[in-house]
Amino acid sequence: MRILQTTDLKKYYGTEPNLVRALDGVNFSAEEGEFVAVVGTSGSGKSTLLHMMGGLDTPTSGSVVVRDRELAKMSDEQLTIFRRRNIGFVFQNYNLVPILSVYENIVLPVELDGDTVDRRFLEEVVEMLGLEEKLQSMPGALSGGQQQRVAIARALVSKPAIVLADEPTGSLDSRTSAEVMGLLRRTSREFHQTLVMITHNNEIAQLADRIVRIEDGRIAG
Amino acid sequence: MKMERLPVKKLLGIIICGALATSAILLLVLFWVTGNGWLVLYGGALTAVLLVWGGVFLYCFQKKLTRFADSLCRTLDDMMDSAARPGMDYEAETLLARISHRLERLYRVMQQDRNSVAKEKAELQSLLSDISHQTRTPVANLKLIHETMLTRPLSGEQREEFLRAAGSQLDKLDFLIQALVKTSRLETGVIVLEKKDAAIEDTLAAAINGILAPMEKKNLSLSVDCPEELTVSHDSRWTSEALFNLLDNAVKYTPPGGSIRVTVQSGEMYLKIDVADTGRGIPECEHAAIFKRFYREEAVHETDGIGIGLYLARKIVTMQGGYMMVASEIGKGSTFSIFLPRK
Repeated sequence: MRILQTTDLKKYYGTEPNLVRALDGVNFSAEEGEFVAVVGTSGSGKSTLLHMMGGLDTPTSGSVVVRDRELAKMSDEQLTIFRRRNIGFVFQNYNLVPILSVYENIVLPVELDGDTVDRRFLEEVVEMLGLEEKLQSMPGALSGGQQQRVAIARALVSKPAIVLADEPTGSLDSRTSAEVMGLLRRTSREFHQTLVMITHNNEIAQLADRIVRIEDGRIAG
Repeated sequence: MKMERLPVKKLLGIIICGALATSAILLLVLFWVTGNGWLVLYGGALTAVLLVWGGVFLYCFQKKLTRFADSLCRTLDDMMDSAARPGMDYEAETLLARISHRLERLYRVMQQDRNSVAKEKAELQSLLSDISHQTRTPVANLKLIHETMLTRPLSGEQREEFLRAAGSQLDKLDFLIQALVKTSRLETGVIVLEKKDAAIEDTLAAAINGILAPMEKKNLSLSVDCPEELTVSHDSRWTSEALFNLLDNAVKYTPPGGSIRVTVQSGEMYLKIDVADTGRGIPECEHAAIFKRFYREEAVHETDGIGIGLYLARKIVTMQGGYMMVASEIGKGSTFSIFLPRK
């Protein structure tokens, strides 16, 4: 079952003659429960693609359909709610709030939603990511790998259908990268999530079910 | 008594009685203090009015609840028919939208499970056809040898040659069947891996024992770097099987005089076991394919093997919550890594 689909997606910046075609007609799709790695060099448009899929940016033309709903047709408010319920983000630089403890960081999106935290689920996620003893720590006191694990827990705890990861191991050494990737893959399997990951690292990408290459704003091969 | 078990009617009765009793007591106290009869009358009227409005509120609330339940049921009915997704305003902040969102998610997860069951079935079918395909050649060869020996007069020397050929075909068949039995057992879930805290050293030693003889034959050197008394929760027997498969590959694809290095490292979340060889290496475009069942690289067709070792190894590791990776450089060698969760 298709969960995510972009059709002839284009994103241009600037005007002629300085027109930059960040995305130039991308047709990309992901099936329910799949782990897809989008691989490309820097400047290939892969991050732009991820932002479009997460509804963080609007396309010049073309459409993004997530769970049978077109993102461009939603109002800002609808999009915010839709994103909160359906999409979890993991970024390269973790984006944790430094003045909140690990626990507070993890439950932040759920509490913003006015929802109650599913305690049992939270415990399961925290245990799987090995964060039991770090819950009261501050993010600044953690290593890079641990911070990224907190960010993964935060993305998972609202039980999104899709997790979008933008270079999740970009700031980590290769050994920690492998660990974080293993966990990301395991949790998305366990919790029935579709995982789309952007990376420039071929070695990391081999853990995906499918690899899509992007070059100059187009899907290559 | 528990709140959930209390019938609504009884609850309502208790609340009304309570309200009436409280107001009666209050009014009596008021009358006793002031001695004014009118005041009591006003108080009584006020209580009556409040009760009426309370009734109105209850009625409306019940109506709303009924409507909510109705539309929830409709959503569920639509899902059962699964013809079309129920058209709802999902992106609203209402209670119903939140529940429908969850329901749709459940629906999709169930659909996905249904699909994966169908996929598993197809997988099993392809496994069966693979088995019949793989066993056909050695069986056909054996038949041919057998028939020749039956029908033709053979000299003693020829006879021995034929018997030797039959022996090698039997070995092949034996190996094939063993591998297939293992695969199908893992595949069909007949075998449940039992994870227990055990020293990884012992598991590794068991795997290495199996390759010492062929290694000797090819004059390969082996170095092992494993922290002593490092324990991890894993199924020792099957993990050792997975490790053996990696080591066996390393021996097979490393030219004589080469070396194999096994390194065990403990990370924060995973235990990492590297098996590195100085063999021919694997081109990057093949990295995903080599883990497939019965896949063999074009370039290695003359080397013995059926293409099941890596597939089995990955299956065993994945079933324990771990994963595998490969890094390789053409001409320099390959490194296969097994990651096992530390708890």
